Amino acid sequence: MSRVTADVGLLDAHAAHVAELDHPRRLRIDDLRVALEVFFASGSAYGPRTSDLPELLQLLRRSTAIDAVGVEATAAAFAEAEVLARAPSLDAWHPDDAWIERARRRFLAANRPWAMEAAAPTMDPADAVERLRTIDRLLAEARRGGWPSIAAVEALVEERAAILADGSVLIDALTDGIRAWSGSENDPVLDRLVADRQDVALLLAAGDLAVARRLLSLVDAGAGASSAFDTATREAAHERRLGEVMDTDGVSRAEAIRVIEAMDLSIASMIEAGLTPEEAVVAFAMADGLDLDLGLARRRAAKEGLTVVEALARMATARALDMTDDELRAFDLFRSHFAGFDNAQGGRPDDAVSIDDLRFVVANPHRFTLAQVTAAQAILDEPVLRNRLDSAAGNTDVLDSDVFGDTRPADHLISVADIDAFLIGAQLNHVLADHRIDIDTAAEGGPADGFVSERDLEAWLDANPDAPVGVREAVAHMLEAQLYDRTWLERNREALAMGAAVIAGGVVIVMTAGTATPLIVVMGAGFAAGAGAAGVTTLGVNHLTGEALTDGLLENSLSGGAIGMSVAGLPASWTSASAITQGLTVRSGLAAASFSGEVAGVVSGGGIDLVLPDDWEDEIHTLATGVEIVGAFAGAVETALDTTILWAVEPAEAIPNGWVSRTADNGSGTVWQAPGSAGNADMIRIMEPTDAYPNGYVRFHNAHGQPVDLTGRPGSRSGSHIPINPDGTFDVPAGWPS
Amino acid sequence: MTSIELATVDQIILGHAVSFVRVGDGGGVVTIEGDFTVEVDGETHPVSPESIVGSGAILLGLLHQVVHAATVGDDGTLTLTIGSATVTVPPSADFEAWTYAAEDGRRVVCMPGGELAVWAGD
Repeated sequence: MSRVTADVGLLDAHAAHVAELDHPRRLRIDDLRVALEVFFASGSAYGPRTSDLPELLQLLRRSTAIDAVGVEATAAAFAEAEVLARAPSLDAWHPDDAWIERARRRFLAANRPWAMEAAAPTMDPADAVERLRTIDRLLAEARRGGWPSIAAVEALVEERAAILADGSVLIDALTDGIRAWSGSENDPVLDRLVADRQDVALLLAAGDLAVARRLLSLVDAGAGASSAFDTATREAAHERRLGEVMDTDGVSRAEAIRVIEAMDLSIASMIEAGLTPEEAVVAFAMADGLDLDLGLARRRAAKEGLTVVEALARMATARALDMTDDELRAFDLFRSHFAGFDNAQGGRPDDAVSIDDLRFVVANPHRFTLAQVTAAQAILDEPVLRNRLDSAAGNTDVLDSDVFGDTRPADHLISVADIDAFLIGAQLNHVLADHRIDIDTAAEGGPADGFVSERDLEAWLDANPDAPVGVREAVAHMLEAQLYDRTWLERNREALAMGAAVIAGGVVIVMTAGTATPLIVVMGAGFAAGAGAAGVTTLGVNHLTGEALTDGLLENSLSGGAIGMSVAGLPASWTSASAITQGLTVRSGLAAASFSGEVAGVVSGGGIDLVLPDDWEDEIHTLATGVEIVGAFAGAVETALDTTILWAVEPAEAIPNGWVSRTADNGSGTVWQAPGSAGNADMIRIMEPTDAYPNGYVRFHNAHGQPVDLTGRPGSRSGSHIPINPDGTFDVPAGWPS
Repeated sequence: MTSIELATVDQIILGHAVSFVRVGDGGGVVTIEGDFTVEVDGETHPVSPESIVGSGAILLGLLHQVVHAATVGDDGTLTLTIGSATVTVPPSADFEAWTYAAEDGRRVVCMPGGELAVWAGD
């Protein structure tokens, strides 16, 4: 409502009018509007008497035309009700902006949730919490298909972020309220404050109950919420990393700590040397995952003016193709200038470059660019590579030796088919390097003879159903015999590309950070250079099929989330949304396609047309990413909020009434169990300290005797061994009877 | 010292742990959460309860077999002789490797690090 400035004359006139409102059903809408405006325009000096207001409120509540008055006026009426309810003893009514704003928001939230604008930073904590709950419900509805519009969802996502940006302030305010509470401990208002604070903590912690608990524990110990959140988040991230390393590497906690310290030291030294944190983490991941020498990569990067990631990509690619650095450089230059060399001496292009073509370029530098001459000379200087290339198209001896390609001269003519065949043959050779002997002898045993038969391939596939997918794809590809069957390649390019990427290494890395956060990192620089193994394969396949050379690479990478490289224990900070988008070379079309599931959700909800205009794709990408993150986040929180959560409790609080205890004969632990239960059913076991649990630990078992984690469901070892806090309290699984 | 009585493996439960049910006459359960090995015919098969895929066949081979012996080493290692197989469960530094719980209240827990917590029963 646009609140009018109080005018004494107007006020007087309408104050008198209000006093005459004894026939509400005959009230005209305009009268109502004016009356409300008067109320809201009133300063304390001119405000109507409190005793006048009930009449107006009764009138508002009975009015069947209230909707016609408009949302704002109605909300204002609610605001008045609030004021009256809180200040019955006041003789004069004092408009309270905060109350009015809150009431207005409540009305909008209840009646027009999509119309809410971003919350004001000064929003009342209780309202902010309520609004967060509303937003999460709306986002959950949106994810189930009830999309109102892209703009509305974006607005909700932004508003949610804005409120949570002040989450620490909210917690501090709620904590102050709890501390200052002087009423009964059984007062529902206090319960509400406590519940609100827990909810904000849970929302701030993105649904991570352990983080939320730790956050509030620190706040209760006197810390500010902001620093407490940082501490809790950092501790939780550290624990996750330790857990990942312990689970993945099967090492003890102490060893996992050492692994992470070494990891952090390496990453920190790269950051110190000028890399961004994202580059440093990705460089470490590449080196670790692909078993590359990070120190060597850093030295090469410094020497050759590359980024460390680019240097690693080149090392991985050179290894995958069995090339030296100089050969790889010559190969890249040759490919990039192939078209210019094709008819260097005139005539029609024939998709082939001869030695004579190259020599002609070098011998006639005035007719070509310096880059072309340099490229021609580079490939002429690498006779072994040239020989491997010029016979590649007819070379089916993929597993004949450790290196693909005949090093003896052939026809001195390097064709597009040679290059394509070389890229695939070299990668198949590399991918299958560790299996070469097994495949060779799979059918009939005996010593390897260098001859791989169809039966060998079939026998190997039958005997190795659990081999890595990339390896099986490579063997299947060979088995189909038509090694360069365009149709087969087109049909299988994703698996082949991803298999090669994972095993041979390259510029594309698909990683999973933790158990719940799939993270995709694509190295933009390396992709641009076309240097990676996955990129090489895709480029080759695409070329064969006549598609644009870059199509598919990112789709392969981004859609191939099931196959990836996991480097346990990497810092959690890079799992943020920014890490997903920073440094990517992503064409908008591919990006949108990669989130087709989310886009489909938008489409099915009627938010946009099925056929996407190009200029919408970036927006959808942003939105889909945001909703993916926030939606999953909201889902976790929604689940958590829907569950009865017991926060850190004293041992006695965790033991249901009537359960019977028995202490171990050697005092190492105590069991509490429901009467009549046997074995491990319905049991809590509180154990004494060990090296791994300096304060002891607790196991909770359900009615079936299964150990449960904090979600209340049967869980992993790490989740179901619940550490006892230094103060003797411990967390209790959701839904645990109390 | 409590004892793990000898009987047959009537049931095997797979989840986040591997449980051999009714190992003793009292209806006891041995629950293994740590990595362990099963040695059969001179061949040793590693089993990880949290990643059980691929180990099903070897575990099913223990079903309905007689438990001939059950011993616990000084370091907490549990050794079960089931049929012709030997199940060896070493202690874990960070988690409980195995537990035994009988219906009559007897209970043994191999705590993180290998120390045993023992409830001798009623």
